[in-house]
Amino acid sequence: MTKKNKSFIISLLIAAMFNLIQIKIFNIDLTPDFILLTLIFWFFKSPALLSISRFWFIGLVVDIFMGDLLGQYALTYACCYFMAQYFMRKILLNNEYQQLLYIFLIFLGAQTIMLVINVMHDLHYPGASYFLQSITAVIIWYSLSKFKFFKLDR
Amino acid sequence: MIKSHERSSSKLFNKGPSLLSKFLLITLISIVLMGIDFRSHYLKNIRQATNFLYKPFHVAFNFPNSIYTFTTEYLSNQSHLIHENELLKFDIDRLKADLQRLDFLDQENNQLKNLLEVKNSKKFKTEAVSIIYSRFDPFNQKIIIDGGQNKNFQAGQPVIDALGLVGQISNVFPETSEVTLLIDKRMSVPIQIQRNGLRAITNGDGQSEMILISYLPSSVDVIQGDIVRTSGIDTIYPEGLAVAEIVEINHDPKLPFAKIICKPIASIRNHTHLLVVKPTTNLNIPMPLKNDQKK
Repeated sequence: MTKKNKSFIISLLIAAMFNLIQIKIFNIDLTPDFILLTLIFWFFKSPALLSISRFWFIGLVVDIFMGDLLGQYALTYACCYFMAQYFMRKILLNNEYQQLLYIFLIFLGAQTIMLVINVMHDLHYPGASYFLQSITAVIIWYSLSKFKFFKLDR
Repeated sequence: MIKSHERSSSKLFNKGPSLLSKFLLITLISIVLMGIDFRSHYLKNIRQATNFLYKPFHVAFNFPNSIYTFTTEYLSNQSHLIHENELLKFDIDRLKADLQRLDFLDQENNQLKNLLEVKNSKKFKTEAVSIIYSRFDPFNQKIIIDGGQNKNFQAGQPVIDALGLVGQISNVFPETSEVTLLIDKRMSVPIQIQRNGLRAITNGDGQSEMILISYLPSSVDVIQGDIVRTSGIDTIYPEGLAVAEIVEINHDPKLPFAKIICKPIASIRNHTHLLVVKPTTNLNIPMPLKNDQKK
């Protein structure tokens, strides 16, 4: 196991722990999906480490732990990989503020897929404040990118 | 290092299937998986089978918490006192749960005296459990408690705290169980308004920490501040448990039913310990949540 692989797995476990914390302001749930955040970070940090099947497999494991239907997180993460691959050059070439826009779009896409699956599954719409979670994800991404370790290589 | 170099160079000359075809295949597999799961609910069985894998995660998730408790106990040097204190707290919770029924019984007693009829209501037993974690999911309101098949819990048993009803056990695993909270959108509780004995059914809102009383006509006799309690006619919930307090009533003449919003009395989010109510008769409750899902 390479050093990167090790730190990847450890960071995923830490993200899973962070997922249990609920960030709530004015009774609105603002908790982003920390596992997806970690996955996307590692995708841009070292693209050779992750493939679409790895994203999908990690999604399946997340599904077993906290999904409503088997495959919803798997599908969402696979779609995120596809979007991230599509935005890859745009993210690595642009400056850090322009990067944030693409990160936001990836998270918004993930949330939309999740919402569509859930609405089809049990006809329940959690309200527009649900989309605020991708804004928290972007804020966390931005605040972490200030640290040297989280800087993306150009 | 060489390995990763090889991998990245192999990406340059991509020989395998293209990303798009891989993506489409994975999407197809996921949709098929979801479709089968929607019909046959096999994810539940997978969770049962892989439950032993959860154990290290439970330990890991509770690690910061256990460090905190360990250090505080170590510093105070009175671990047995703390243990005793904890037991006493459980006792207080249990007694409070008994006490909260007193109000309802008083009211009921008066009504019964008028009718010259005596109905003996059974007392219920409870078992204290602690919360392990709450599931991260904006679409579901569920928590995981310790104690499952090892404590003879069944799906359908009500879960309460010192103030009132918190939810219902929806899934039992070997050592843990999943509790669906009162505010979950699929959760329904048969209730009775304490002031006038009106029967109704609550529904979780799913969006906020509120619950709704549905299917009551616009002309219904409810006022703000009415206390809502379980009616006990379903034999799942013992009667007289405090459920919620009515905070808002919308009488819209255009709509056939009044929209009644209530606030749960139990402090659903602020606990580490809960009480599971043991059924007085051995009920075989057939999948309480599945029936709800059908609508």
